[in-house]
Amino acid sequence: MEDDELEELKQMFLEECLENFELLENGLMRMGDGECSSDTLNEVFRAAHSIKGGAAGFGFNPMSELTHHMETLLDEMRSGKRSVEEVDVDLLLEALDILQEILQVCQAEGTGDHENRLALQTKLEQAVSSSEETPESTTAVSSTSEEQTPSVSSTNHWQIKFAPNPNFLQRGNNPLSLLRELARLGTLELTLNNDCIPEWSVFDPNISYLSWNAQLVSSESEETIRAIFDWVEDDCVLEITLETSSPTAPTQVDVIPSIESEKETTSKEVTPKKAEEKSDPPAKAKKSSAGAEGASIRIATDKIDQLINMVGELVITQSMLSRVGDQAGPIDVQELRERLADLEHHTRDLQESVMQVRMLPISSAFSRLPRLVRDLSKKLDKNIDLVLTGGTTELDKTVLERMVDPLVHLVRNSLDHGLENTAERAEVGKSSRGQLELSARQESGNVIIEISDDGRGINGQVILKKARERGIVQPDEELNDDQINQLIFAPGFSTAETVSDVSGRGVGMDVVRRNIVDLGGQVNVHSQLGTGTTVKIKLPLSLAILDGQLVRIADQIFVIPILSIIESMEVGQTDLSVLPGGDEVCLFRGSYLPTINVARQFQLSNSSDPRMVVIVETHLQRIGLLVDDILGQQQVVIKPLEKNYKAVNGLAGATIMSDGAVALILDPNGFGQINSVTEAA
Amino acid sequence: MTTKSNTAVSNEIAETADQYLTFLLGDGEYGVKILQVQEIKSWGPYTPLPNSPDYLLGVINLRGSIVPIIDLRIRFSLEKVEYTSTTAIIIVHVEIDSHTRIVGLVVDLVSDVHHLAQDAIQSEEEITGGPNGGYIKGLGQIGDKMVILVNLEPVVASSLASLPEVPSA
Repeated sequence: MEDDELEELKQMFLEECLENFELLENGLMRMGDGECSSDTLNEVFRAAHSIKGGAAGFGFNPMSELTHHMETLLDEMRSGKRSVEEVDVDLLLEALDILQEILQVCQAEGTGDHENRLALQTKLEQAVSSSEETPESTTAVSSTSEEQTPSVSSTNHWQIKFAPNPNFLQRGNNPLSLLRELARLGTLELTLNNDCIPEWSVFDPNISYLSWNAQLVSSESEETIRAIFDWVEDDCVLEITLETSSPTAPTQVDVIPSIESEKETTSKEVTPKKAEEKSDPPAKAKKSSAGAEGASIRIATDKIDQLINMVGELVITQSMLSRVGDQAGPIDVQELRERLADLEHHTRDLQESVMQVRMLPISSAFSRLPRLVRDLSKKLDKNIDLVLTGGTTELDKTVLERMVDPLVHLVRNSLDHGLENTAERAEVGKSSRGQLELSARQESGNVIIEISDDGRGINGQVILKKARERGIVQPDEELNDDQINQLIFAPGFSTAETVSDVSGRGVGMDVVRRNIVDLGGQVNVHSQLGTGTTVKIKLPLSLAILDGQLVRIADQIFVIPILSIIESMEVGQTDLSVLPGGDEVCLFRGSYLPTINVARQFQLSNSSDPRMVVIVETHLQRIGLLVDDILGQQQVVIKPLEKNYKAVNGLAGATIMSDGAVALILDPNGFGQINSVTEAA
Repeated sequence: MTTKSNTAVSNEIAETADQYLTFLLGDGEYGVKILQVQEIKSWGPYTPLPNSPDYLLGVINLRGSIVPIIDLRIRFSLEKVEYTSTTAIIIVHVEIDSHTRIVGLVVDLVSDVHHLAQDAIQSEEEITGGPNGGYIKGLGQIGDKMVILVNLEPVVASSLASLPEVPSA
C-alpha cells in the first residue's frame, strides 16, 4: 500500500519534471537571447531547484547531483556574481539534455544515469570555479565573466544559523514569517535541518523540532538582520557570521569528491558522443511523445468547474422535463418544446466543454522549436529569426502530440534547404537574417498551422528533374506548378545534393505527410522561387468528432470526412470514362483522377447508377468517389469498429445517427489501398 | 457469518454456471452459457458492412456501442429463413485474445433457460468420435429434446477473424 503511494508520488514527480524541463529550456533560451531579467533567472533557478529537491527525495541521485551543479552556476548568475554568457547557457542546455535522457531511463527502469553526466558536472564545476579566480581555469568558458565578477564592495555573504527553541511555536512565533522577512533582504538559500524530528508516536505538533542554516547574499548590515530576530531572540539560538568567499563552493566539492580523478579522461570523451546525440533529436522527440500517449492530462480547474456547472444545469432541465411528463391531464406541448430546447442547448454546451478538456494550447508543441532553431542555425552557420504566433490556439492532446515530429521536421527542412546563409542572402539583396515564421489559427472548425520562410523557395524544374530521375514522375508526364510542389511529399524524394545529418535522406517529407493525413489532416506547400516557401497544415480540432458529409450509396447512408473533400460535382458535369479493364477515371481541373464506384467496391447491390462524384484527398493522390446522392452535413462522433469487430479497409469507423441507426464513415485513404491491392492482384 | 454468505454466493455462481439459454435455429434447439449472455434484443434494422462474409449481417447500435451481428443460421450452414417477429438478437460477450468483444447472435426464437449439470452433457468427441472444429461444446438432454451446446469462443473468433475476400474485379 505504502509502496503504491510512493510509486504514485514518484510518477507525479517525473511528470512534474517534464514541466520543469520545459520551463528551464524556455528560460535558458531567453537567457541565450540576451534577456536575463531577474524574473527569468529566478524562474530558471526555481525550476532547477524543484527538480533537484524532488530527485533527491526519491533517490534519483544522478539527477539531483547534476541539477545541483546547474543550480550553483545559476545562483551565481542570479546573485549578479557573473554575467550571463552564451557559453554558460550552452553548458546548461547540454546539462538539460542529459537530464531529460536520465529522466527517460528513470521512467522506464525506476533509476538511471547518463554516461556523460560526470563529465558535464566537472565542466559546470569548472565554469563556477573559474569565476572564483582559480588560477588554472581550464575551459575558455568564463574568461570573460571573470572580470565582471563584482567585487565584494557592498554585497556580503552571511551565514545564519537559526534554531528555534522547542517552545518556539507555543509562544505564538512563526519561523516562516521570519525567514520570509529574511529573504526580503537579499538572495536567500535555506537548508533545513530536520534531524531532531522524533518518532511519530512521540511527535508533539506543538513543539518545534526544526532548525535552518541560511545563506544570505545581501548588502544589509548585521544589525538589520538581527533586527528581524529581535522579537524571538530569547526563544532561539541564532548565529550570524560573515563569509568571505562564495558559500556554495565548499558544499559542492563535498558532494563529489570521488570524481576528481576521472575529470581529465571523461571530459575528453564527451565531445564526439555529444555530437552523435545532437544529430538525432527527432528520434528523441518521438520516444517521449510515444510514451506520453495514454498518459495523464492536466486540466485547468476552471474547465472542470464549468463542466460541473453544466452537468448541474442538465440535471435541472431533466427534472423539469420529468415534471412535464408527470403532469396530470394533457401534456403542455408548448412547455415540453421549451424544455427540450433547453436540453438540446445544455447537451451541446456540455459536449463542447468535455471536448475542451482534451484541448491543449499549441504553444506546448511550439516550445521545442526555439531550441532546435538555435542549435541548428549555429551548426549550419545561418542567422535565423524564429517568429511564433498563435500559440494559444488549442488542439486535441493526441493530435498535438503527434504533430510534434512533423513540425520539427518541417522546421529542420526550412533551415536546411529553404533559408540561405548570410552571404547568399546578401547576394540576392535580402536582409541578413532569415525569417522563419510559425503560425497557428482556428478556421471554421479546423486548425491551420503555417510554416513559412523567406528562403530560396522550391525550384520546380530541379524538383521535376529529380522526380523523373527517380522514376516518381514518368518522363512524358506533364505537371503544373502546384503538382510539382507536392512532389516533395513523395516517398523517397530528396533534393539535397548531399545527405547531411540534418536532412536529406528523403524519408522525411512523406512521413510528415503520412502523419498529418493519418490525423485526418491535409498538407500543402506553396512556394515562390527566390522569395520563400510556405507549408500549410490543416488539422481537425479533435479526433473523436469529425465534420461529416452524408452521402447515399446503394440506399445506405455513409459519412465522408469533410476535411478530405475537395469538391463534389454531378457525374454529368465531368468527363467520366471507363478504361480497358473496367477502371474508371474522371476529369478534374485538367487531369484524370482514378475514380471508385463505392457501391461496387463494397459489393453492395445498387439499383441506380451513381449520380455524384466526390473528389477526395488521400495519402497518395486525389481520387473520385462515385456516390448516389449527396445529403446534409453533420458533426459525427467516431466509434471504432475494431472494438467489437475489426478494422475494415475503406472505413474509418462508424457513427450513430439521430435516429439511432449506425452509419459507416468512409476512409478515403483506405480506398487508395484497396485500389493498389486490386491493381497488384 | 462471512463464510456462510460466501458459500451462498459460490453456490449461486455454481448454479448459474450450469444454466444455459436455449434458442431455436430451424428445428434444432441450441444453448449458450447464460453467464455469457448480456441481454436479448428484438430484431431490428442493422447497417450492413462492406466486403464482409454473408453470415456477418452488419452492425447495430447498442446504446452507443457498435456491435456486429452474426446470423447463426448462415454461420452453421442451415437453410435461410425470413426474419420474423420472433427473430431475436442474443447479445453475448466473448473473450478473444484477452479482449472482451460484444457480439449479437441472430436466432429464430429464444426459448428458455435450463439447468444442465456437467455430467448430463455428452461431449462432442463421444458422439462423433473426433473434434469437429470445436464449435460444439456437447449435447444435452432436456426432457425428450436434444440441445446442442454451442462453444461461443471459436464460433465468434472465426467469424470475426475471417478476412473478407479480396474483390476479384
